[in-house]
Amino acid sequence: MIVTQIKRKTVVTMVSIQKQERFRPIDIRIPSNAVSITGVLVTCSANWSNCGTVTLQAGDGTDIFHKAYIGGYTTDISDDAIMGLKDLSFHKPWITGRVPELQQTDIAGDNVFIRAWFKGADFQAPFTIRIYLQYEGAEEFVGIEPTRPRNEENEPKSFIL
Amino acid sequence: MRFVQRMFSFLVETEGQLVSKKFDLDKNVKIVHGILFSSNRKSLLFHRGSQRVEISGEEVIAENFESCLFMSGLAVAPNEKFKTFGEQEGKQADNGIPAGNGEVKIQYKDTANPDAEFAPYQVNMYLQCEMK
Repeated sequence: MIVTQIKRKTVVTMVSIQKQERFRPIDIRIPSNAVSITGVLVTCSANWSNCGTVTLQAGDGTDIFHKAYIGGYTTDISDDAIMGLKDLSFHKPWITGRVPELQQTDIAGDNVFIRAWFKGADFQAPFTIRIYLQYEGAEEFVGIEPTRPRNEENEPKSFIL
Repeated sequence: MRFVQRMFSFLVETEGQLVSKKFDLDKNVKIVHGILFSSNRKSLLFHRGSQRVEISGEEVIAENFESCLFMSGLAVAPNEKFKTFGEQEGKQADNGIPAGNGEVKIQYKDTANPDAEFAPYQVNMYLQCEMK
């Protein structure tokens, strides 16, 4: 039996956004063996709630497949903070476990170039955005497994006389 | 199948430091199934950390991948904390990464962030390993 596997890898693109920047096209190159884009995530180093949006479109001119609103991680407000009590930071991601994760997509076709557009909203200082694109490669050969277990008793034996 | 968790630690002592470390897995580790990052100062790791990880020469985490994507929380059940390798759509696959020669290389980068002022911190990398 021929054993194959499909590997998933992620391309990370870092983009520095300057203070006055309101629009930026970004070209992301995906390796040519990619069959489909299976996950997408956009994160941002700033903590303002609304820094802008990043829109992603596949290279063959198909529809926009993802629009990410970028902003700080700590957008949850704890009950303690609402009631004016001392904030015990129970809402932090490393307590709740709600850390950023890739969103599943399935974009097949010509994905060698993915075009992203950053559109700025409300920010006062430079920051960095990271675009994660997870892709699935072609099926790779791993090895051959015997279809049935070897039974040494039934195998021909050689005798030296 | 027998699973064990291995922990590897290193210190980030200066701001913006690039830490390159090489660790060795036990000889009887067959497959690495999952990864988890933690720290004694979690806010610094969450906001400032990024890394590249190689297992037996194969890049399993690309450069500039933020550490926060591999962190977990106190509110998460222990059995669900690890980020598994080789996920398949809608479910967690059990294929993992072959340990090969058992060499694990990490390049950790500390990056300035206004949300987390620098102080020396320790980074802990946990690998969930299947033994032979």
